[in-house]
Amino acid sequence: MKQLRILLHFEWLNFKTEKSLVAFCLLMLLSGFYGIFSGHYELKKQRNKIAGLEQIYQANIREMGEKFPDSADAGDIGYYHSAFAKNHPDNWAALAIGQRDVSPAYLKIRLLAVQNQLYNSENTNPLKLATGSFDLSFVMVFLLPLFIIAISFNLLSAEKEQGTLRLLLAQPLKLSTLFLAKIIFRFLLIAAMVILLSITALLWTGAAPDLRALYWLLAILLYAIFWLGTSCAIAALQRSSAFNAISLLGVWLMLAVIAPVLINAATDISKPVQEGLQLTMVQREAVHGGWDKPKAETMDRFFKHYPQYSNTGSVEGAFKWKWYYAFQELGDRSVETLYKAYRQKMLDRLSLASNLSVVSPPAKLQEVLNGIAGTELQQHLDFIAGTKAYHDRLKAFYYPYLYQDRAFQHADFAKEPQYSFTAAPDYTKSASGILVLLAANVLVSLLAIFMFKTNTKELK
Amino acid sequence: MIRNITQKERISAFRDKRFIILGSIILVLLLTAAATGIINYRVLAAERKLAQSTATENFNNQPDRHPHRVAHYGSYAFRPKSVLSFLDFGLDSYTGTMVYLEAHQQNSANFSQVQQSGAMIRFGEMTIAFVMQWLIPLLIIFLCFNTFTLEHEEGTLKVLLSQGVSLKAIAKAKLLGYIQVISMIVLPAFFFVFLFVLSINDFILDSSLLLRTAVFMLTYLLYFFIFIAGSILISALNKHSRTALVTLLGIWIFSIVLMPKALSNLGSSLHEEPSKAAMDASVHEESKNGIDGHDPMDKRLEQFKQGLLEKYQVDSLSQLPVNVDGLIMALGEESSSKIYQEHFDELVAIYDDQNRLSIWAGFINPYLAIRNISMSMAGTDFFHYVDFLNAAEKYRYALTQHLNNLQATKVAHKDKTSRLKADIYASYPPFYYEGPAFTKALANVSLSIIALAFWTALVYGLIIITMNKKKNLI
Repeated sequence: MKQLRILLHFEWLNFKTEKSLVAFCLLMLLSGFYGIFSGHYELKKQRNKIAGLEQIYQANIREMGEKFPDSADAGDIGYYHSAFAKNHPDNWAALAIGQRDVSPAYLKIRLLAVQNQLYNSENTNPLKLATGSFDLSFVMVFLLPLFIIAISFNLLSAEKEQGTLRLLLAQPLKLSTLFLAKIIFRFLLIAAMVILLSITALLWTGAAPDLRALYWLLAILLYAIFWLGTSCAIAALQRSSAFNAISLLGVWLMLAVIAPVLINAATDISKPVQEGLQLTMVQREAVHGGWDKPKAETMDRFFKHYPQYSNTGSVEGAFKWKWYYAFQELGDRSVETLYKAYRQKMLDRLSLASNLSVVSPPAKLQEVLNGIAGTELQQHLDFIAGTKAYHDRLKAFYYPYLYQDRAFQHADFAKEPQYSFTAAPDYTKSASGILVLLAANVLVSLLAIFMFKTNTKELK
Repeated sequence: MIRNITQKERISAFRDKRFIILGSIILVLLLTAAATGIINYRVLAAERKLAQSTATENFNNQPDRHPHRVAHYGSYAFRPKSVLSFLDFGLDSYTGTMVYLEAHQQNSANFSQVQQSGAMIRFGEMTIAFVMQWLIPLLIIFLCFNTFTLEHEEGTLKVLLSQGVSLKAIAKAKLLGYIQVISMIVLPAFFFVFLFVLSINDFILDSSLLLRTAVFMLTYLLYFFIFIAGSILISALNKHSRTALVTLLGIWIFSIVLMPKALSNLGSSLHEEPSKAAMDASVHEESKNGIDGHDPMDKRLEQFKQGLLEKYQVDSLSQLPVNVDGLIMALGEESSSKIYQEHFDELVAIYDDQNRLSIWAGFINPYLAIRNISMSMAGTDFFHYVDFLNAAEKYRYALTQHLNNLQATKVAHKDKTSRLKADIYASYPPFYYEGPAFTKALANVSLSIIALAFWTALVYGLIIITMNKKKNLI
């Protein structure tokens, strides 16, 4: 034990004098800080956009007041007025922007058929999206392994190449103790970096230090151990530093880049999505076809779903909003199965990618971190489903005015339903991801021990 | 002697098992990339073609309708996949594929691939461009990092120099040798790529396609040259193989993984774009009240009506020879579209500001230059996307005005119910889009091409200068 402490102390002294190691640490910290800043800023931009909606909403209500000073037909309001479904990010989203930057943070909703309002896009710069977010999760998933590789690829080879290994082993010291000391020292260094960056991120972004913080640290530390284990396994081969560097970078490239890229290609090829395009086009035919169908037929079908309004009176003759909204509603209902199929296809794609990603700890970690932050596609689909339900609430609010011929008073806007969504963390997915990382750790530790046992005999 | 050195590098590369293995892996990945690229292209191109023809068919077979009903029924613009997009998906997965075109409003392009995928897509996509931009440089680094350091470590450099060969000559010979080695991998790959390009276009020779492919390949050759020469240079500047390798890998990570993301995020932090909702609200506000509240729409409409009455010397609108409803609609559309276009151009200018940093950084980082050229030649960059959006808006505007014109000439004043025969709509040409010409695409990336040329000259120049300076030994 005392020996270990001495070794750790010397590792520390050695570290302090090694300029390149200090530089790596600084680079890692700098990237981490920039990641925190950049993720926080991206979130701030999203919040600004959401905050601006209130003014647009109020301006629209003022305009309605000018257009219909006394009272209005709710049909006109439904047509000319719009409300917003808002997807507020949790502070945690700044740490892992995930898919939040590609999906809109709000949807503009009118009383008309909802299905072609759910998939509208926000203004986005595609080059920025394609290059990806530089958030803390990127630093952890991509740069942390490179940092670990950089400080441990020459774990033993450096001592060997400098000729100090023989000197050390001439002392009453086991190679395994030396090896262990080096590993422990590096782990402490890495853990310190991870914890420092994570705490900074929590303080900077105001993310709540709840159960999520525990999941976050657990996942990242397991991931760090995985890479440390991989470095040890390669180092135990007792080859040159150059060999170690190339092999480790190769492993990194395989796991962090090529595997996810192939998984994505496999998902796209085996489960292509056409349902979205189909859904919109079919829905348009159904809605606009409403104009050309006999009015009585449309109303009869509508009353099947809303028997309470069946005594609303005739819609024949001049244009009546009652009839208009009836065929809008029927248009939505006609694509309900397509909507479900579209949603299901996206969920299938997600689960396929998630299953395949067990071969890639980096992809798994990204999934876990996005799950903790609530920024995966899953959460956006939840928001879409929530928005659809919100549209139902709007219908429940406006239909009595429409179908019971009640005038809509300007003051009634105050009673209009509102919708704000904030994604909850996906603990189940994160937990199962953490288990996968744990399994990867066990595998790589066994491998490292095996490599060490078989390759260090001649040195002993 | 020089020829011997070149030959030695070539032979030892192909004797090195690790190089053979890595080279084969890269070739396999190139083929995989080509296969997934082609499948992806075929699936998406067919899907969009079908969607566009369904949209056209629906439009042409609609029942008899009032022109303004048709204006609301609208049409769709689907972005066709560019033929060369299989080489480099570029921004294609991040851009909307469908724009719904209707009267009075400009809709967003929806259903991008990335919106329908999980986080996995953000790791990158399997394309030929990915293999060439990320992996071949690594292969080059692996091949060249110890070219001088090993000679140094094994003492062979002294022997060579004692034969009276200059260091510069050795470096040139090595450069030539490695160019040959990399060519033996890259040129066959290019040959297959060329065949794929021909086959995907049904073996129709199309000059723009050939030119795009040629620029694509030539600029990649420059990119590889920069890495070969750069690696040799770093190897010459280092005493140990270990430090040369770590330096080169560090440069690779910094320029390919770290810097592009940092710059693009920085650009986006520096220039904030408005939300779509805010933009739409401004367009609505300005077309209703006039820009800065001058010249509100109501007033303009009154003047317009008055002008018509005077022009035709009649007392009431119903006596006009044309239906004023259609004319009013056209006036509104003209004004709001013009205002929208101004806002859209402003938005594109903001995006250009955001991206400018990454484009100029091509002079610091050749990866950013080749990325830009590659996407542009494949027809999948931002410029091509904006061109499509503008074409879609242009079609939307023309279609809407055509329908307004029908209303003005074929339907009576205040008549909201009569229907025109369907064939009058079917005669309108469907949305057809062809991307920008080769020359425009080339001009748009001229800065990146200059950056790549600059880098080529720089690394070659540095080799010559270093070798002249170091005449004898490190």
